[in-house]
Amino acid sequence: MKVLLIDDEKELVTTLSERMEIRDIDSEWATSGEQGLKMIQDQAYDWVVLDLKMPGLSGYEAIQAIKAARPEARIILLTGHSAPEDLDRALDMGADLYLVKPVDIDDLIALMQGGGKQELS
Amino acid sequence: MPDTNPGQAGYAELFGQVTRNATHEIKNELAVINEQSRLISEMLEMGAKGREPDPDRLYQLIGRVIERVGRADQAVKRLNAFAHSAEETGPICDAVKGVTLICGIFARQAALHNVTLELELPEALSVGLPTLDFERLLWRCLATVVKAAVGGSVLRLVLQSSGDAVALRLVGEMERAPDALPSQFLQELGVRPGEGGAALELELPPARATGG
Repeated sequence: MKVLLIDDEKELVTTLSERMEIRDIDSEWATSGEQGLKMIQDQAYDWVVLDLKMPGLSGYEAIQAIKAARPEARIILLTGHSAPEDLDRALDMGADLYLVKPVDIDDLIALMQGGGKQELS
Repeated sequence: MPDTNPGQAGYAELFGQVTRNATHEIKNELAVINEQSRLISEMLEMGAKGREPDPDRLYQLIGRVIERVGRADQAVKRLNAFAHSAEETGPICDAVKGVTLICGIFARQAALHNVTLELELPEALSVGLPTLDFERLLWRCLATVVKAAVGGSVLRLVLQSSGDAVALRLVGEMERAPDALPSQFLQELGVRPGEGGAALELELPPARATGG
């Protein structure tokens, strides 16, 4: 399983990636939607974990672009306190699930390994 | 309770926007602190199982947790200071304190638009507006101008005495002209549009004009 973490908060994605590495999960990270999209165009990821609110390419725009480039990639949104209508819109645009920060990494990994069938949010 | 009063609705809107921004910022800091402290715990657990953790990485992580706790504390202090604004019901307010507070809370919103705020303030300056009205005006100005600003640019807020008024100017590189603030809103506050060519320029009533 290969995971791409996208969040403008660099300390969050680097630490999350390091914790995934401890669990033998292959992960990479990006700090903007634009950077993440370039990485997705270059290589395939099974899961993309994406912050909804970022400068530049917004989470919504990123979802559309990811799905256009890699329709098979599954997308999990990480969010702070987004309004339900924002999350519904993101799910309608192609995100598979959303999780509210802070996220339990073992729940996140179990969710991805289980194919995203659990509802944690 | 005159909850249909436009002024009251404006204050409620301001409280909603400020609270949403401040709690987003706090939540973000907590999320980072959560990840970093759990990583420290996992590194120590691995050490207990015979795999020595890298001490430099541990010190670095602990330093970052301390830094992020400090940032979260500042965000809480700003939110608390804003909550106390409601107690300042007089006809004048400390404009320097108001600008510093509101810009501090708005900074994350500006960052989402990839805009950095810079302040150019005198040491002390009061305006003839109640504190909440001044803060409401500032928030609307910032929200309007940041939306029109070029991504990656710096937006400079300049506050200074200007003859019989206080000049508030927002200066920066714009993608388009910012939306005009509603004239009725400005009239209610006794604020006049300025004409200096900045992205947004207003003349605010001086403290003495309202009996301050």
